[in-house]
Amino acid sequence: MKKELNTSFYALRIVIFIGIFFFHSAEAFDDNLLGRSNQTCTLDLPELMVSLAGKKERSAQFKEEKFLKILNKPLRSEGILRFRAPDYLEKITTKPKKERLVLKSEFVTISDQQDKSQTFSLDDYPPLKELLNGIRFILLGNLDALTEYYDLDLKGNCNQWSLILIPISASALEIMDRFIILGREENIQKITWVESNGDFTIMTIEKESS
Amino acid sequence: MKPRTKIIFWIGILFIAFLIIIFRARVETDISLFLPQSSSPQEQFLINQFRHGPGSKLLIISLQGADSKTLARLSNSLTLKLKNDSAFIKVLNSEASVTDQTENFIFSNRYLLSPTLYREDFSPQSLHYTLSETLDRIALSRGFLEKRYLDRDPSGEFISILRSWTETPLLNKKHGVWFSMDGKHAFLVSEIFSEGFNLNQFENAIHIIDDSFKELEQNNSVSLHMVGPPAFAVASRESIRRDATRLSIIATCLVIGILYLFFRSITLIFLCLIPLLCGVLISISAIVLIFGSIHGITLAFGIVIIGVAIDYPLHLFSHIKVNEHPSDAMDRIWPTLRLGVLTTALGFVSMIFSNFDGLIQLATFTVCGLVTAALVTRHILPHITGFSFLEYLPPRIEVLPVEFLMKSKFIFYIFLAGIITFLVFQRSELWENDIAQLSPVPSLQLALDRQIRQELNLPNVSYWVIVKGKSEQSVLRLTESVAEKFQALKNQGEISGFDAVTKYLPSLEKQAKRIETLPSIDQLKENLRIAKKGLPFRENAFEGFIQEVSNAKKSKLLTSEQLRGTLLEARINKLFYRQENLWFSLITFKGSVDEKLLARATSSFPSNSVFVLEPRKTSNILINRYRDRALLFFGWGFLIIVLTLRVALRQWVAVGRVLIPILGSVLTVTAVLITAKIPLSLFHLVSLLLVIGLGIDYALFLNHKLILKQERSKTLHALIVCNLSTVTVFGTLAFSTTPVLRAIGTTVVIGAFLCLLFSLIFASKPKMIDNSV
Repeated sequence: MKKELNTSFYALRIVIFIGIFFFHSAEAFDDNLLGRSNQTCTLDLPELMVSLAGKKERSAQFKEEKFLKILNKPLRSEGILRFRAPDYLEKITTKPKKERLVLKSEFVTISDQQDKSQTFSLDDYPPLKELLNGIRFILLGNLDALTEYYDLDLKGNCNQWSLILIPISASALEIMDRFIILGREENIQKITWVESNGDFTIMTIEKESS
Repeated sequence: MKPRTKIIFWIGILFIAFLIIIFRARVETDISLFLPQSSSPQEQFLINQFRHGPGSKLLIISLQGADSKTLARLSNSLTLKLKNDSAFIKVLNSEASVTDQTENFIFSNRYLLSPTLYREDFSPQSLHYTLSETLDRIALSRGFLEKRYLDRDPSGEFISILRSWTETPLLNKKHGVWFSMDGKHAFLVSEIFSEGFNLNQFENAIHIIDDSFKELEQNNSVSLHMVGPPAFAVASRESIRRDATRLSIIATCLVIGILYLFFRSITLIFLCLIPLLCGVLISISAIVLIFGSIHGITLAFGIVIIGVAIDYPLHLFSHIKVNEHPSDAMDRIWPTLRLGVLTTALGFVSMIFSNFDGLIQLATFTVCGLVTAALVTRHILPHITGFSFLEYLPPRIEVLPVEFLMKSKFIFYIFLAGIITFLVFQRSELWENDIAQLSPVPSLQLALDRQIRQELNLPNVSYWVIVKGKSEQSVLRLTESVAEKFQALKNQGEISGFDAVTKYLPSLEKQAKRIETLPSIDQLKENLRIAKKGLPFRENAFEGFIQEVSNAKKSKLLTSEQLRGTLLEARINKLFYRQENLWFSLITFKGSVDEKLLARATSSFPSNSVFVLEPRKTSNILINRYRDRALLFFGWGFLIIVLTLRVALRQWVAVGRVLIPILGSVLTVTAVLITAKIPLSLFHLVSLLLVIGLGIDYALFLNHKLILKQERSKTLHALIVCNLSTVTVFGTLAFSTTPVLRAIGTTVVIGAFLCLLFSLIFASKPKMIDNSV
């Protein structure tokens, strides 16, 4: 029964990925039509990392949708993301409720509306560690760290690229399936995180201001 | 037997003893042997904790002196290195992560374990509320843990259990390992493998830690500190050993100097040592044969007490006349010497009948040692000595104001009366009742220990509440009722937290009750159908949940058996154990607690099954009772001494002449110690035993009835050499920085000196005819 659910969900997931790709290729097509970027540029991993690492500070608005297999519609939230090299990551959610998550080195602090906060070490929560570290290494452009933990697959060109990360370790694979990052030049546009149980999260990064 | 046969026979015996020691001797270092037998429930519990409790084998390692990253790396590599060593039961530098097995166990038994399970939790309204709240949290980041269990555990029992088990804030961590708040110290906690409280195993573990650390830390900037009972016990033994070695080297040199001054012969000095060495050798092998092993404490104290045997050859050598064979001199002094040895040895026989293993060993050692030394002095030593050293004859000593002392009996009685009056008034100050005062651990170390314990959030060790019962379930049920009281106190904010076994292993009764609170499957389905209204759940979202509740209703209730192999077992072992036919459960507290509050909370329960334990106070009571029992046996010993002397000397007056000076000096030593604000401990008692042994010899020699004047001067010579060497040895010990050694040193120095002085007052008048040479 459970297995059946998973398969049907897997199908749904594929549909969504195709959707995302289609959407983005359409966007790229638009760009070309408008003549914003006439020459296509090739891209390889080291180049991408170098360009990503160039940005020492980032700040952007995000919209997040969590698709849970037991829900018939996604859970939505939005807010602001901040990053400062080398290890500071902040996620402020403004809707549906206020929340602030700060990742500093190995520690995560989550505080709520009443400013009640709890701090814990990433080591104690492997699923969170997989996700947050993956994001952090990408933002840092740290190819060595990324290849240590993930199999990487880069597609596209500098105007529109997608990077798929699949965890290497078996224990990580038990929790997460992969995550997919879409971007344009040194900007990240969308992060999709797929969990092994079939749940997945799509985070769209709206506007990146430096 | 011919002298030569005797010597050969003796060498044979020594050889056998030597072989026994080489092949059989094992020095026992488990202090438990010297722990008194317990009577009250508090004491039983405490002793068991001390012997088997994990707390007493906990060693905390602190690293400091580098940036946090270096410390964390070092902490990790050290943990990795030590983890697989059999000297340790466990080594941790962060919370043991919950293994999948344990997690599954807790998850599938959550309805038995959850402290917050109520029937209303499964009502449509309550479920609706919980589900919508959980979805809100999952939408944010904070619900990341709940998300995993939402479909199977929508009422959130699993998370609620985990939360209640880790309600106290987690320890501060940096780079994933335990750190102090200021980030300057990295902490590791290890539990040493040891049967009982075994110092050798502790020392071995500490060496392993030191060596591994040195291997890992090459640039010497990081320093490692260890605190905890094993570290302290080993450090104290080490400091006593170091102190004792250093001081005994000094003392030996001084004594050799003194003996040379009196006898002008190196050979003789070595001959003096033979009886004592033989005594030690035979005693050790006897103890090994009888008990299987010898305890370190027996060895140390035993050698101190039979130290009196060094006097036997000194008496012999001092009494030798010109051109006299030592055997003839021996024949003359033997009756006196024999009586002295016999009296002292018989004094210890009473202890053999005590039921303290430690005292029995000590008494056996002493009796064996004294008798051996005396026999060697009598039968072997004169023949080895021969005429070899007698070119130099001991001088006569007549300068001492002996005559004057002998006339001052009256003053002595007044003095003694004064001492007794003083002691009667000061009797409440007599004993040291806080054994911690005798601890050689520097206060700086103890302060570090306290600080680290606080930072590590280890349970408060000042008070525990103990629940005792005849079966596992009765103790669990009683613990539950007691825990309810403390939960109420916690809710009122009177205590900051507590831990009890029933958190992890509820009584069967409680588990059955919890299962009863679960709704019927049909009811649950209906409730869920209503609860889902207005929420984005799919039709069959909670199939898993319904299945789990139905399983739980049929599940087997938990007993300690089923917890084997899970992380819970370790938690439970600290709080719950069986000793013979009794079960004990322990409630520990976080932060500071008030004794009165605990007493009030437990007052409604029968006092012999639920009681408050103050380990420090109880251990003091325990040690003090041990001392009192030991004192009782010393009393019996003294009575035996009196009777022996009565039989041998035939007159009560003669007994008085021997014993009054000794009693006088024992009382005076006590008075001096009290005046110097040094209350008496067990160590002083052991030292007084030696003083009594010395005193009996002094007094007997000075009371020899038909003594001639020339003989008297030789006796004086002997006594002065004996006394001077004793005072030198123990005077050196009195300068020790270790409280135990200092106690022994001061007691013996003052006691030995006073014994000689007072014995002189009571000495018999020598005959005036000088018919010698």
